[in-house]
Amino acid sequence: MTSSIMAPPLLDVRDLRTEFTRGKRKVLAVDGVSFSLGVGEVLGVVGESGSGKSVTMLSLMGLERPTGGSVRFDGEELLDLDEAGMRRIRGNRIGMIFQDPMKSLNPVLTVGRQLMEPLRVHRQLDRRAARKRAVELLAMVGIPGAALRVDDYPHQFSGGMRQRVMIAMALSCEPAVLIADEPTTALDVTVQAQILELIGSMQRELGMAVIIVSHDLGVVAGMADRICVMYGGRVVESGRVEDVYALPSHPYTRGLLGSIPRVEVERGSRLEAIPGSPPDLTRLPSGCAFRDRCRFATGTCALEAPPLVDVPGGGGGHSAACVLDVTPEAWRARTTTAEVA
Amino acid sequence: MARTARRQKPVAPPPVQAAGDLVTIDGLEVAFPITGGLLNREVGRVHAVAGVSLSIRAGEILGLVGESGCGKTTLGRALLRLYEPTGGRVVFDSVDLTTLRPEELRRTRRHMQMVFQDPFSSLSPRMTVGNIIAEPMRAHGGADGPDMRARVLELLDLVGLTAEQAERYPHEFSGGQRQRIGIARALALNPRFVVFDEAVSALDVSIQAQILNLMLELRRDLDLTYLFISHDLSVVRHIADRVAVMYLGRVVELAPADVLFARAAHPYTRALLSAVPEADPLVEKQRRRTVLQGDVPNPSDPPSGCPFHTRCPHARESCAQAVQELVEIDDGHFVACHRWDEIDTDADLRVPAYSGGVE
Repeated sequence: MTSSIMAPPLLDVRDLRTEFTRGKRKVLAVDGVSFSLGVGEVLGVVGESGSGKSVTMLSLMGLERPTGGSVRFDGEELLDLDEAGMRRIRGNRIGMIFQDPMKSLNPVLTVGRQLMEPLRVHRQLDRRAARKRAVELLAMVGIPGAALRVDDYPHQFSGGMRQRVMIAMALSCEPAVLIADEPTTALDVTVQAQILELIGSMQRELGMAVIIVSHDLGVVAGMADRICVMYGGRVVESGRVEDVYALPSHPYTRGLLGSIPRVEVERGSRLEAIPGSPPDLTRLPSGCAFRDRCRFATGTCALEAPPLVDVPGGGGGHSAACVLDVTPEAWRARTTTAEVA
Repeated sequence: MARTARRQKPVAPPPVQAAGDLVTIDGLEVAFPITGGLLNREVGRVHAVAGVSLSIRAGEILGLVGESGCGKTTLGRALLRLYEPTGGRVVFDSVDLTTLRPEELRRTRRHMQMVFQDPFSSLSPRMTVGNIIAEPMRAHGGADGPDMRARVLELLDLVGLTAEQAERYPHEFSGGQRQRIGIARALALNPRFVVFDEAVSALDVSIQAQILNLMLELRRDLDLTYLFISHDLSVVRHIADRVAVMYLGRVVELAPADVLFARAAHPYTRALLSAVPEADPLVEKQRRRTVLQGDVPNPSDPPSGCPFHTRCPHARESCAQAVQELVEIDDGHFVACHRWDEIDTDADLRVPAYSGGVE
């Protein structure tokens, strides 16, 4: 699970930008996102609606056209590849699962056919070998009676089982990276536990790196080694998951953690919440996108979006994008004054 | 047809409610027909609610939790008779709702309101917010003219919206604001009881916190009683005074919230609680989960005996024989399990026979 610090990262995303045009408006959905992922590492990406987390993932897979930046995967620049080049990577070296497996599975083909396709294309297996491997994959992700179910259609599976089929497809070519975008959001909590455990055990078994995108801070807490918190198309805080949860430094991360009813919060007490609404990417405020919801915003926040800088005294690689003094001492002082006032 | 067949007791006894109870649910059943074949004949029935007895005390928030298909939404709607119960009774403030005629029901219903998950689909896109909020008052012949206008402004203020927003349309509002509109409308007739059905489930975390705060404030200020239906156990733990857990149409455990989250006795509740991810990496990384095997059985063909026995790590053959009703194992703590006093409740977190650790 721990990535070697010296080796170059497996996936290195630098200053990624993705811009859309909506009518006459320009929408900067991804605005200079940078992160890296080591071999076998699990990165959690969290944020609310409009944070740009899903568009970031689609952009680095070439499913959205980025307008700038760099995505280096295993030494190769993905943004320079043409569609054929991307197809060689996608579904082969980088697997993907989404929230709604029904949208990603073809309803008129058996799951076996859909599992065999990447194996035949990327691994050049013949029909027999591909079918045999498809059954193995279904068994591996815990589908009972895999040899029979391989000929079933997607609608014949329950929600949890469909997500297992998706995972089997994503893992069929033993990718180096699995991108899981809200993989359990549509599932019941006991089924979610099954799927998260499956992803975790596959990650350890195959030594795969995983990016798990979620709005659920609980899901990420259990899975990730490191975390990126996104807001308004930018990463506003990142670091080891223990550091970020123990010492949240960006006001947004603090608000997010204060919004969830955690065990230690007194029952029926006021949750901290964050005023206002999640950002509308078509009309982000100038400067820091969070400033119109931030209790601590000052005039300088409107001038420019602050870059990620190391949190003084934070663990290694813990950084936040805020003009405030974000040290734990400064936060302690600030919250005490707020209570007095 | 089942309504008459099912009324076995010739004369219903006069409604009795324990002191302090606002809503009493007694043996409630809701069955939906399954039709099929060429003639669309009834080929079976799904017992979405299969004999639930519960009471909701005046002023409390009762949390109702369970996974999809457990019947929690059906139960919530049957309380307001939005679905017709096929058996049992619902008593609201000493009035048996199940026997009321339409006009009487309409009058009683103004005291009972419902707030749904998706505020947009429950708000008319062509009406201004002011009209949406005023509509229940028009329908029930409440205030009109300047009084109604004043009441709308009062309601907007109550839920944290401004007077100017009365002239705007639902699409101009964010999800959280729409849910505030839904709540204002539900409160228009000064109800005593509100059913919230997954009312914060679709909202972003920071907005969910705002709405939970609002619900708690309104309960305190207006002396309301809530049934809070949700699949999200962290939210229920925060807001509810007591919690009922449903599985396949039945309540399997009922307890004060603190007791349920500290000492759940039913194996299903325990599995459910152990599946909830906590936003704390230190807790998460050392905990062992009871991961249930398989899926929830098809409600149209539920297992015999205890409905949970097919997935229960503690099930014995005898569990498939008979349904266990709720029994009180401690003050106000009810459990429907044949083996609750035999199973070592620490064992399912210790023994890895069926549990997989998330390391």
